[in-house]
Amino acid sequence: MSGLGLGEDPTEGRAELAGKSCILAIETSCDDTAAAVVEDGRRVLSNKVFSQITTHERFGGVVPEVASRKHVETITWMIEDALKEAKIGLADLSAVAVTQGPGLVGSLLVGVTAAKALACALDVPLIGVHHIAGHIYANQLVQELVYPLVALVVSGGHTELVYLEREGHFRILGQTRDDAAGEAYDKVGRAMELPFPGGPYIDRLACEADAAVVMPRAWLEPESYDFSFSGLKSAVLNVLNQARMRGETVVYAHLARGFQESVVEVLVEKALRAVKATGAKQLLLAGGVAANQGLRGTLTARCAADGISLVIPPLSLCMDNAAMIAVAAHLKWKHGLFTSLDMKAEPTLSLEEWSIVPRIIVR
Amino acid sequence: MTGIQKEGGGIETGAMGETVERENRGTNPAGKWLAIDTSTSAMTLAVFNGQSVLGESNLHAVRNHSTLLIPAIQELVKSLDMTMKDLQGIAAGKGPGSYTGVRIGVTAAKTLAWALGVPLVGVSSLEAMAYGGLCDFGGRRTDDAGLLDRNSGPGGKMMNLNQWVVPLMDARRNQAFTGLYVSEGTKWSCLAEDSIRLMTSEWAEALVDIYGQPGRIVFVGEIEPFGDIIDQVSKLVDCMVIREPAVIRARDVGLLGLGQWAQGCGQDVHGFVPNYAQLTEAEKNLVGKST
Ligand SMILES: [Zn+2]
Repeated sequence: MSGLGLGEDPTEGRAELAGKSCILAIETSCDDTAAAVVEDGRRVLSNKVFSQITTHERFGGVVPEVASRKHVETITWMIEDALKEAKIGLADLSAVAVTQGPGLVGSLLVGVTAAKALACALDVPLIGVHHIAGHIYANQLVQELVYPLVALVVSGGHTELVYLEREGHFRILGQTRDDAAGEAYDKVGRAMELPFPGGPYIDRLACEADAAVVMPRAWLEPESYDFSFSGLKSAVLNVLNQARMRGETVVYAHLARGFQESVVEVLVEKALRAVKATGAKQLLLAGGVAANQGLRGTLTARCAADGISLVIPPLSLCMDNAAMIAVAAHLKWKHGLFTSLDMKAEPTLSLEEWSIVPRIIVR
Repeated sequence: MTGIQKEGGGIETGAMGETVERENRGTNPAGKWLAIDTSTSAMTLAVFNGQSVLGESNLHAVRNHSTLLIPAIQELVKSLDMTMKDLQGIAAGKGPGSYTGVRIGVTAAKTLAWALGVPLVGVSSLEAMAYGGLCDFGGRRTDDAGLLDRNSGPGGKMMNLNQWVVPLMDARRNQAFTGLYVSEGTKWSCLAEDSIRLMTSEWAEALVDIYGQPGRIVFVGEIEPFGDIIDQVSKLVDCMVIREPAVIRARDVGLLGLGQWAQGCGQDVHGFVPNYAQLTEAEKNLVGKST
């Protein structure tokens, strides 16, 4: 039972599903309301995302209660749009998948409730999905994955190095001890009075800068794959405060570049070390910060130099989306691992526990 | 209490409300409907055939509507030898109440209605609470001492009384989600719309100043935190004041919803959202800054 994950019902599965699958997935873990239809875990028939960013902009960050309210307003629209664009009907669906966690609990609950209601109305299985498994498996839409592999997951809420020995089997090698990389970007962005979210603006400033204010690197213990970005964030704030006290001006572009170089170098070097140490055949980049040009550029160059096979999803699949949730759900679908309708939204769902443990089929 | 006057759902109530409504075995143009409400800690479901209740499920002190609601719907439908596809309409409590609770009920209702392709009607959770209170406590005969006699049958003399029903839901920090509903003759209407109110003596005075003297007042719902304020209202009116703890029942949500549906008041499924009765804290702060 231990490997089955939360709320899974081992008696309900159809263990030998060989036929085609058409999975509708819903993703509402943070501030985007998304729905998608994916066939056989490979072919994206639709991938709709409603971004709430203009709503949260004026608050300078995502407000959980506001996000939850927006999800309720948008959810059935997105499901309908996803089906229309996929040109299929409700009767064509083989399962409904949804992000079970991690994420903002109020946001997750809207998607989870809608998914359960849909599965119940259509009498099809429900599959609860780990958000990070979704980000990682977005790469399967880009190219065939070869195991073992290492995934570098970088987003507003996550910074993780994950090892996959085989399909659907996740082991966390390292993770952030404080802020996620994306979070550090947002905080630094706010300090530099950039619009929310600050990440893309810092990235642009850094790429255009002709010099850098050198910032410290948080390598932690020599063996560690963990990350820490709060010290770096404080260092940036210090530079800003000291300049303010002395009445000097800071060239934001130089500061942005120094900050970005520090983040990117630590991410890239730890990821490469993990690939070499584990003998991984591929390195996957996943999560919203995968859209960062500085990170993409450095990682591509370093992997090329070291002969490492690197997979980076296109921008639309880096950001939160529901197609990635459908792809990850397909892993469970193949093994007949479904989730019961009393599934709980889990704001701190464990990725390792979500791993796929194939059921033993007794004939 | 600044309320916009509005005609009620046109449901025939009066003193015989309970009998008329709840035991109607006549024709059922609406077919089989599911009614739900999760805006408070009660999780309440009912399946109707026309206006008669085929089955219901009422759970109290529910901590996690999100895990229990859909399985409970499935179970109730199954216990009636029906499938989800037999449902021909959904009525749902849209709040006000617990933000998370209301969201779960509204999201489940709109997704079910959309997936099943059936009509949806949103009902005020406070109105359902008030309507239930009227049926339980408002239509009964009182004895000579003016005390409510629960053992007696429905009494005709209440029929034409101008009865106020004030539903109360604790919204913390001395606030309540409340409204004012009125039953007179066969008419059921809303006098003061649902809102969040600070429960001070100003509220008690305004209630009587604005809306005049009723024939009787029934306070229902979460009565306990508001004992003092109800005492104040009692001193301001010269009629009987009844206070009864009560929870929302889906059968009342369903009856009100079916009444609205009969009057042609359906709800656009995609546009169905909770009535939170107030802005989020973040929005309030933003409004505060800009003024
Ligand atoms: Zn994400």
